[in-house]
Amino acid sequence: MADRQNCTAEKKADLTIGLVGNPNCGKTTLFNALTGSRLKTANWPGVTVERVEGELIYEGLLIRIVDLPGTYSLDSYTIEEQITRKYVESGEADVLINVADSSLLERSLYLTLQLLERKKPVVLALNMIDVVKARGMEIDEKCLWEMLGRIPIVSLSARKGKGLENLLDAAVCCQEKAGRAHPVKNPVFGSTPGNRSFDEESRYACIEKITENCLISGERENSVTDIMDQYLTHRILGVPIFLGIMMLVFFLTFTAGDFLKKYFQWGLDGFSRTVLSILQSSHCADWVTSLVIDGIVAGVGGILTFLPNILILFTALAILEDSGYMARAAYVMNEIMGLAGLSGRAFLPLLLGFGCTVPAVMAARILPNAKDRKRTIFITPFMSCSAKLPVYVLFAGMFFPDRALPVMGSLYAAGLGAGILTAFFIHRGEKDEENPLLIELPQYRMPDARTVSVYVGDKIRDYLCKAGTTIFIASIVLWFLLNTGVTGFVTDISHSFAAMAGQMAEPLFYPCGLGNWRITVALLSGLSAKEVVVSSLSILYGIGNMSSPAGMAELSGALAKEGFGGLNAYGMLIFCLFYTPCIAAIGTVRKETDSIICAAGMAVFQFAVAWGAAALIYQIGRMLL
Amino acid sequence: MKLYQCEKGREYRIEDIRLSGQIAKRLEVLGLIPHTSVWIVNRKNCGTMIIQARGARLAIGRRIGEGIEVAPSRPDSCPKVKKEKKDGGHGR
Repeated sequence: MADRQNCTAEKKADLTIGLVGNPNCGKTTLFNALTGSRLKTANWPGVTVERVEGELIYEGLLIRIVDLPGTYSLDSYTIEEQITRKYVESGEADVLINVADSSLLERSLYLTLQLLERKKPVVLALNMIDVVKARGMEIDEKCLWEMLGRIPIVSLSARKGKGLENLLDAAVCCQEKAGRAHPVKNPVFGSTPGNRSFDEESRYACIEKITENCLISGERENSVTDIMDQYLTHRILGVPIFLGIMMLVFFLTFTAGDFLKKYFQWGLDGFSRTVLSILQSSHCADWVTSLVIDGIVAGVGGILTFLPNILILFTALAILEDSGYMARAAYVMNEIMGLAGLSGRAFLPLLLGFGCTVPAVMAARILPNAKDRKRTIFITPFMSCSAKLPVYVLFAGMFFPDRALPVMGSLYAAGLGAGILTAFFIHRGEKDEENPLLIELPQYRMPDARTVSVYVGDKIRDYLCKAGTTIFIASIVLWFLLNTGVTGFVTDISHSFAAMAGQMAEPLFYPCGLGNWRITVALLSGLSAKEVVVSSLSILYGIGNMSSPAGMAELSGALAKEGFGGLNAYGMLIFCLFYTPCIAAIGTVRKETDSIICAAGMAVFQFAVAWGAAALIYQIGRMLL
Repeated sequence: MKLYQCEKGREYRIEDIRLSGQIAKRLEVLGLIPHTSVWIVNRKNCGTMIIQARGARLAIGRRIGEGIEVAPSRPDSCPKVKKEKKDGGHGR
C-alpha cells in the first residue's frame, strides 16, 4: 500500500499528478486519502486561492499530487478555472487524474472532454461509485472506455478508501504510455477527441450519446436529498431552520468553547507560574521576568485560549460544508442578505462576529466571491464581540444601574445597524456587476471524519502560526510602552511612554467626552485585546477588583472627580463598540484579505466611525441635557 | 413562459436562453442549454428556485430565471403561470 511517510519536498518527484474535477466531486477526499494529512499549502501566484500539494511513496516511486481548485470547465471565467487551465497547459503534471462524481456523470464529462481535447494524459477516476451502486445505477466502463478514446478509467470510493491502488497503478501506466499513445478513433467524436474543438452544444450532444450508451439509470433522484430539501429549503421553514442551526454553531463555539477555555487558562496559569519560578530561581533581571511573564506569556497565552473556540467553530463549519448543507444556507438567506448587498452565506460570519471577530473573519472563507468576502470581513468588526462585554457591563453598571440591559441592547443594535448600513453603501458605491444566485447544491451525505479532521488541523496550524506571530510581536511592544519612559524602566505607569501617548492623544478625544489620559491609555491598550481595557483601568486607577460593587463605586468616584459622567460613559461605550478591533483581528483580516491596505483601512475606518459616533452623541447630549 | 414562473414538482424543457455574458456562459457549462430538461425541486415566491438538470441540483436567482424560456415537457400539461407579487420580489 502507498507509504505516506514524510517526504522531502525538495526531492524531484518521479511522478507529478494533478487532480482536476468539479467542485464537490470528492477530489479533496481523494487527495487526503492518498497523501494523508501531510500536505503543504501555499497560494497560487498572484491570487489568494490556496495551492495544496502532498506526496506519497508508491511502489518505490515518489509521487507528488497537486490538488487543483474545483472547476466546471477550463474556460477561464473564474480564478479557479484560470488556475486549473494554466496548470493543465503548463505540462507540470505528468498525469492528470480527472475526478468525476459518478452519480453526476452527465455533467462531469464536460470537463473530461475539455481535458481530452487538449491531448493531455488523463485518467478518469469515477469517484463515489458506492453511491451509484446504492441508487441502483450502473456504468458500463468498457463502453465508456471505448467512447472516450480508451483512456484509463478507474472506479473508486475515496471516502471508503477503495480503488486507490488501482488508481495509482493507472496513473503510473499512463505516464509510461504518454508520448507513445496512438490516436484512437471512437464512435463519439468520429476522430480522436484531441483533433476537434467543440462548442457547448456539441459537447453535450457527445455527452448525451455517451450516457445513453454507458449509463444505466436506477432511481431518478436521491430520495434522502429530496426529503431533506423539502424542509431545509422550504420557503417558510427554511429561514427559521437555518437560524436554529446557526444558533447551535454559535452556542457550541462560545459556550462549549468557553467551557474548555477554562482548562486552557488553568494550563496557562500553571505554565506562567512555572516559568516565573524558573526565571526567579535563575536570578533573571526583573525587567526580563516582567517582559516574559507579563508581556509574552500573557500576550501569546491569550491567543492560545481562543483555541477551543476556533477548534469547535471550524469543526462545525467543516461538518456543515461536507454534509452539503452550507450551499442550502446561501439559497435560504439570499434575499435577506441581498437587501444589504451581501451574499446569503455572509450571515454565518456576521453571526459569529458577536462572539469573536477572529473566527468570524476566518469564517468568511465560505464565501466563494472575493468581493463578497472582503465586504463581509470589512463589516464583521461592527458585530460587537464578546471581549467588549466586560467594558459594557462595567460602565453600564456604574452609570446606568437601572437601565443597564437596554443600554447594552442599544449597543448591539447600533453595531448591527452600522454594519448593514456600511455594507449597503459599499454595495451601492462599488456598482458591482450583479451577481445573481447560481450555485450547485450537492447531495446530502454523512460528513467524512478524515476530511473534517484534515481541514480543521490545517486551520488550527494556520491560526497558531499567523495570528500568534502578530500577537507575539504586539505583546512585546505593548509591554515596553507600559513599562518604559524617557528615564528608562518606570514603576509609575503615569511616567510611561503609553501615558505620554495618552496625554498627547487627549485633545483628540475631548469632542467625544473622553479627554482623560487614563481613558485614552486604556482604549489604546484595548488594541491588544478588548478585555484589557478593563484591566488597564484597574492598573491606571489602582483599583483591585473592578467588578465588585466597592470597586465600581471607587472607580465611578474617581471618574466623577475628573468630570466624567453618564454622557461621557455612553460615549465611551459607543467608542468601544465601534473602534479598531484587537491586533489579533487586524492580523487575521490582513491574512484573510492578503492586503495590508485592507486591514489598515479597516482599522482607520473603524476608528473614524467610533470617533464620529461618540462625538455626535456627546455633543448632541450636551446640547439637550 | 419563463423559468421563474414554473411550478414546483413539474418538469420543463429549455427553449431559449436570453442572457448574455458570463452568466450565459456559466449556464452553458452547467448544462443548461436549449432542449435540456429541468425539474423544479423547490421555489420561493420571489422567483428564486432550486432546479435539477442533468442529474445536478442548482439554486438560481430570479434574474436568471427571467432569462430562461421554457415549455412544459408534456404538451398536454399546462401548469398555471404563477402570478407575480406586486412588490416584484427581492431577487438579485
